[in-house]
Amino acid sequence: MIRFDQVSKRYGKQTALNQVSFTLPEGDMAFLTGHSGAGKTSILRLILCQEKANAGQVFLGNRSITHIKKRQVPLLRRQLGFIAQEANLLEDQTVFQNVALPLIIDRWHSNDLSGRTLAALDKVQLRHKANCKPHELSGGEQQRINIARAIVHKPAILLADEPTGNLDPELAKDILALFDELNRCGMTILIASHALDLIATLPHRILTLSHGQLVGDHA
Amino acid sequence: MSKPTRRQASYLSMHARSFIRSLGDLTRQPIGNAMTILVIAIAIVLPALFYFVGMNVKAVADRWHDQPQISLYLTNHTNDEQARQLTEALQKRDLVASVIYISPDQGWEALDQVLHLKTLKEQLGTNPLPGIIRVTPRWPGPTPEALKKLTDQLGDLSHVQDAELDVGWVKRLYYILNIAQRLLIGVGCLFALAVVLIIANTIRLSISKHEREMAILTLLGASKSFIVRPFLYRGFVYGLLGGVLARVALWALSNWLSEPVQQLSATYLSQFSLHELDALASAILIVGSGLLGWVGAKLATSTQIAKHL
Repeated sequence: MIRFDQVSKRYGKQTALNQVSFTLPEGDMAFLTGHSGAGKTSILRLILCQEKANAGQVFLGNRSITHIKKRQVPLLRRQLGFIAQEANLLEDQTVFQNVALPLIIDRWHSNDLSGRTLAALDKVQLRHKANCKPHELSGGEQQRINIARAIVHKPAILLADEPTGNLDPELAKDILALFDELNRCGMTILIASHALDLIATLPHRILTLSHGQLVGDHA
Repeated sequence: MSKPTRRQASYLSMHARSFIRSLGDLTRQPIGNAMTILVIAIAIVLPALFYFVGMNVKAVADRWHDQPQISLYLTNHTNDEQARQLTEALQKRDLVASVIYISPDQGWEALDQVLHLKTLKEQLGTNPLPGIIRVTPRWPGPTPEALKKLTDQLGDLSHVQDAELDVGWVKRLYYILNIAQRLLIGVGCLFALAVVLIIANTIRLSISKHEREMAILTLLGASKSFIVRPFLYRGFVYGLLGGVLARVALWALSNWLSEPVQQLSATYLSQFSLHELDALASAILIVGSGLLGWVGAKLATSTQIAKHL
């Protein structure tokens, strides 16, 4: 579960979020939408503890992460999955090594790691690309690898920031269908996106932000 | 020893992965890294060379030290029997390694072999040389001050007219070696600092090239130690390889100098040859260089990586 309780975030004099409150129950999927600068990314950054709220509380499950200690942040992030607009893959490593990274970070034994990584690659249907380097993949494939990396450790919550931003409409549909499938498996998913036409095709909740305020919450 | 648990095994494999990764990074930019390692090797070889020279000078000095002698000139009326009794008494002293008595006749004979003084003895009618007892103190052991004290004590013995020790050169050598030792430590520290700074700067540049990678790892939940580890290994490998190169350079230099040193030594009727660094000193040089690299990397990461986390 993700819960924002009267959360405000300011960068200098600019207000990115103004008393935003919402709850995303466990196993739900929602889209955060709004114009550029509306505050979508700020919400994700607060959940990832890349930023701290100036006011209000952010909860993951029943735990407030608003004042989390710096040394606890890596442990928290290991429980989340995050997908950025850019694929953000390590160019000098193979697809397999990229996908396995969260497990390596979490000190998984190599025997378990291998099976779990291949399963994640199966999920995005790119097992056959396991030994390729990222530059050998298309943009859509790179983003699917990015998703595989985000889900390989089976996080309870998956966050995505404009995951279809660089993809053509057909590929974007495929990616969103993949998110839908992951959600049906029980994963809580929050996606920041301004692709309203695509979002509208899926039967999920839409949280609309404008100038840092939550102005719409449609199921 | 108990078998490592899966968690421990994965921890070790994580270290192995970081180490292999750091080696891989080195091979990716072979020329730049080779130049860095060469610079490190030069910085290491210079103090090592100081040590090497110091070690060999000490070895030469120790050979000279084997015979610092005290000459006891006996009074003219001391007969051979009294001189031999004195020789035996001196032999029993703690600080004395050996004692040789040279009678006036033996002394004249030795002098005559060099200067051909037969006619002079005929003219003088008597041998003017005193009996001499040559005392060799134990060495190394007594300081120049202790040697001086021993000489004074021996000079006060009955039948001894005069006691002489050329402490000047002993003292000078002793102090020169002292200065050389301090110089070695000072220069060694400076060059060690240079190695640390060279590696710190190299790692700092490397960190700036890996900013994107660090940002990705941070978002995936990597701890600071996970991110820092490959850089620390890299610094260690830089230092280690620099140390190995320095050791090889030192070996080559010592081989190159070996023959002329032996030729020079032969002119002094000595069989002195250059002393090589032994296995322990070599290991200290190489591992120590690796540790300096680690310190340099630690310095760079503690200042550079904190701002990415």
